[in-house]
Amino acid sequence: MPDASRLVETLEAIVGPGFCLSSPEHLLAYECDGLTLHRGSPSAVVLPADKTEVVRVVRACRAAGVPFVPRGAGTGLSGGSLAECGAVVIECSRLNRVLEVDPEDRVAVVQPGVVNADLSKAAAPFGLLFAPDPSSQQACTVGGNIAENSGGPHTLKYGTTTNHVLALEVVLPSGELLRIGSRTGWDFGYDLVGAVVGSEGTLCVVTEATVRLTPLPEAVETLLAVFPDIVSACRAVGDVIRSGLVPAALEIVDRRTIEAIEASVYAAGLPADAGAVLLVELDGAVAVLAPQMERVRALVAGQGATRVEVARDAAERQRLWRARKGAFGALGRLAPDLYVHDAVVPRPRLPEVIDQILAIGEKHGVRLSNVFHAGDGNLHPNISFDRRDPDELARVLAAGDEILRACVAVGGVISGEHGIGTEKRDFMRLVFGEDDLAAMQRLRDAFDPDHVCNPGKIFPTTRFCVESNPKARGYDRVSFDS
Amino acid sequence: MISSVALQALRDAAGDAAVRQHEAEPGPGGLKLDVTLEPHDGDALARVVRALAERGLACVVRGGGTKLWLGNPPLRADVLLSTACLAGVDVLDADEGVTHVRAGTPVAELRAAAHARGWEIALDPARAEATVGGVIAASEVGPRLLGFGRPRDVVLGLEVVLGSGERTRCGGRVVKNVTGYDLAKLYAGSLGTLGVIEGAWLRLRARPERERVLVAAVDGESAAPLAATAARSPSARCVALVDARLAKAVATSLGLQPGQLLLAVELAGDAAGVEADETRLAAGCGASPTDTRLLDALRAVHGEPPGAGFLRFRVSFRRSTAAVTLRALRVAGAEVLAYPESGLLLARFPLEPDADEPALARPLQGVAEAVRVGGGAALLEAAPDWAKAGRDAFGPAPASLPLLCALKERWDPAGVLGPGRFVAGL
Repeated sequence: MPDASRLVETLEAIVGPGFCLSSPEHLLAYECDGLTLHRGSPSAVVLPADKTEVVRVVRACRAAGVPFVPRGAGTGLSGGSLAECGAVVIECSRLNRVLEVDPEDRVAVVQPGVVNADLSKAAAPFGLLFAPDPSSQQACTVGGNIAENSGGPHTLKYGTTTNHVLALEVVLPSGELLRIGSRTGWDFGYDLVGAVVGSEGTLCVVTEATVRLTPLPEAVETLLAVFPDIVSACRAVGDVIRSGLVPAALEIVDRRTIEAIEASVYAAGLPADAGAVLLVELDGAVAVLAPQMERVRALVAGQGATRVEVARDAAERQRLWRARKGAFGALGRLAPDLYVHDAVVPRPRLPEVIDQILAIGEKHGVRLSNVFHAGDGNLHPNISFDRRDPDELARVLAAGDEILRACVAVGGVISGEHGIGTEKRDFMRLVFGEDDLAAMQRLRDAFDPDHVCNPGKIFPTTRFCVESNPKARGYDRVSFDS
Repeated sequence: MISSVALQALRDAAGDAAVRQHEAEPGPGGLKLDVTLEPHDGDALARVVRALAERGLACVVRGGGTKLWLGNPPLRADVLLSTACLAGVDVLDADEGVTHVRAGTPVAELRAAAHARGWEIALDPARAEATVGGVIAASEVGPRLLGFGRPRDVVLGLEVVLGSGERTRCGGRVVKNVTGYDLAKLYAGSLGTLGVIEGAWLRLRARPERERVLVAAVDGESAAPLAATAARSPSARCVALVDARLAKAVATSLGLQPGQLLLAVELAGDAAGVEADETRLAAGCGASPTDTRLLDALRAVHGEPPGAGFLRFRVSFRRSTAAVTLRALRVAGAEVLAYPESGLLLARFPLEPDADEPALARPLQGVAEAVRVGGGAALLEAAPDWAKAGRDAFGPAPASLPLLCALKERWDPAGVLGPGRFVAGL
C-alpha cells in the first residue's frame, strides 16, 4: 500500500511549503468543479511553480502509485478535474505567465494557468486576440480550455480551441517532458496536438502552449432580435444558417434567463416582454457588414421578430455580451445549484428539439432555462435546483437524461464544449459503440498505459471499473461520491 | 507476388468482384503491384483488412491514386487497397451546410453536388481525380490554403476501419463536438497508416457570390510584405508567391523580369467585399485581374508526380520569416511556390536527367538553411526513387517518436497499412 502521508511530504519538498495542500479544509475547495453534483476528495493538491516541478510531481505520484489530475481554474462543468481515487490534483494557477506575444508570427506562448481573458488582454495592444471565449473567460485558464477544447459564442466563426493551438509542451504520465506540434502550425507527423486538445487532461499535463492569435476584425455589428417565443428564435437561426451567412456569434437567451440577468449585476436592459432574444454579431470588412445586417434583419423579421435593436457603440455591445456571459452567474441566484447541460443538435432540428426540451422540463417539474450557442446547434438547457432535496434532484437527473437522449435521437451528440468528464461517461454509449470506445482507449493507452492521468473520465464506468479499479491497484483512499 | 492461397482468402473476404488482378502498376518506391482490392462497403473493407492482417500481408491505401508517392516508400506492400467502390455523396444537407460522403468520392464530384445546392467544399486537391478520403488522409492543401485551411478543419466526423480491422466512428455530423477523443485529427495526414477512411461528415461553406483572381509582378525584396498586405484583405482565399518558372504562361504575359515573383491572389465572398478588396489590391500591390487558370497552374505544381528531373520539398516556416526563408531556398536554386501567410511553401529543385547523389547537396543545404531561418520543418514530397532511398522523407525523427510508434502499434499491430511509409519509417 502506498503511504499517502509520505507522498505529501515528498510533494511538499518539491513545491515548497504552502504549495502542497492536504488538510481537509483546504481540500474542500477542490471537491468539485462547476458541476457541483459530482464530488470527490483528492489526497493532496499541489501548486507547482514551473514545469520542472510538474515533472517531479508526476514522477513522485508514479513512484507512490497514486493517480494525478491536472486542474485549471475549476470552472469546468463536467467533473473533468474531479479527483477520484484519492488522486493528487496538480493545480496550475502558479503557472500563469504569458511568456511571449509575437505580433509578427501572431502567436502567444503561455503557461497553462494563464486566464483566458488575460491572454486576450495581453494580445490587444497588437490588434490581436485569443479567439476561444467561453462564458467563464474571466476565470478559466488556457490549460483548461485546451483540456476541454473549449468553445464560446464566437466559435461559430472562429472555431474552438483546437483551431488555435499550434504546439504544446507536456509532461507525459511517464514523467517525460515532451514538445509536440510546431509554432508554424505544421507538423508532418501524426497530429498529437490535435489529439491532446479536448482529451480532458487524461493524456498528459500541459505545461506550455503556443497558441494562434487572431487579428481583431475591421468592423463589428451586434444586433438583438426580440421574439415572442424561443421556437421562432430557433427557426430564425435555421434561416440564417441556411442562407450561408456565418455570423461571429448567434446566441439565444430565453425569457427566464433574461429575467435572471435583469435582476442581477449583469442587467443590460434586455426586453422584459421577450419570449426570447437572438443575439447576432457580424464582423468583417466594413463593405460587407451593412448588406449582411440587412439580410439578417429580413431573416429574423421573416420568423416573427417583433423588433430589432442594434448596439450603437462598443460600450453597448460590451453590455450585451456581459449580460450574455453573465447569464450562468445570474441563474445561480435562482437556486442553490445550477445544472448546466451541454448538447449539440443539427441546427435545422433546433425548433423541434427545444420544444421537446421544454416539454421534458415541464414533465419533470424542473426549473429550466435556455441560453445557448444557437448558431452551432449547441444547447445549454440549465436546470436550477437544490441538491439537498432528493426528490428534486431525482427529477433533475431524469430530465437531463431525457434531454440527452432527445438530442442524440436527431443526430446530435452529448457534449459540444463542456466535455464528458465524470458527468456523461455513462452516456457515451448513446453515441458510440464498443469498437469506437476501444479505439479511443488505444489513444489513452498510447499516452497513459497505466491509467494514472485523470482516471475515471470520458469512458463508461463499467470499463473504468474493470480497467482502472483503484482498489485493484492498491490506492488507499478511494472515494466514489458521485 | 501474392500467393494464390492468399488471393483466395481475400476473395472470400471481399467477394470475387472486389479482387482485381491486373498488369503490374509501378507503385511508390519501385513496388510493382498487380492486385487491387476494391471492397464495396464498410463491412467488406473491414473483412479485407482483417484478412490481410491474418496473412501478414501489407497494402497501400489508394483513393484517386494522385499522391501514392507521398511519404517514404513502403517497406513492403502486396496489394493496393482502393476506396474506388466506396463512393457517393450520401447526404448533402443544404439547410445545415454539412455533407456525408463516402471516402472514394472524387472531390470534384462532391464540389459539383455542393455547388448545385449553393454550397462550397473547402478542399482543394491538385488533381480532379483526388478523392475525399485521400485528401483527408494526405492532409492535402492547395492554393486556397488561406481561405480553406487544412482538411482537418473541414472534417466533423470520420468512419475508419482500423489496421486491426474494426469499423469505428469518431466525431459526428454536428458542427461542434467534444464527445470523446478527437481521433479524426490523428487520421488526417496519417497517409492511411493508422486506418482506412471509409466515410466522412464534412462542413460546407456558402458558395461565394463573387470570385476574382488577381496577379502582380513583385520584386524579390518587396514580395513578402506585399503578400502580407494582400492577405489582410478579408476576402482573400489564396495569397501565393510564385516563381516565374513555375507559372510560365502567366509570367510571360506579364513580362516578368528575372528575380521577380508573381503575387497570385484569389478573392471570394460577398460582391461588395470582393470589389472593395480588389480596388485596395490594385492600389496597394498593383494587382490586375486574371483568370482561374493561374490557380490551376499552382495546383499543377502541387500535383506534379515525381520524375527524374526534380526534387520537391514542402517547407514550413514562421510567417514572420517568409522573406528570409524564400531567399535561402532561391539562393540554393529552388523554384518556390509560397503561401507566406500560412507559413508553408513548396520548393522545387530542377535536377539534370543523369543527376546522382552529389547533385542533392545544394538543395539539401538550401532546405536545411530554410528550416533553420524559418523555424519550421521540411518534408521531401516528390523525388526520383534513388533520391528518396536511404533517407527519411520526413527528416530527422521527432522527439515524439516513441508516442508515434505506440499509436502505430495499437492501431495497426500487424503492419497492414503502408508499413514504413510514415515518419521515421512507421
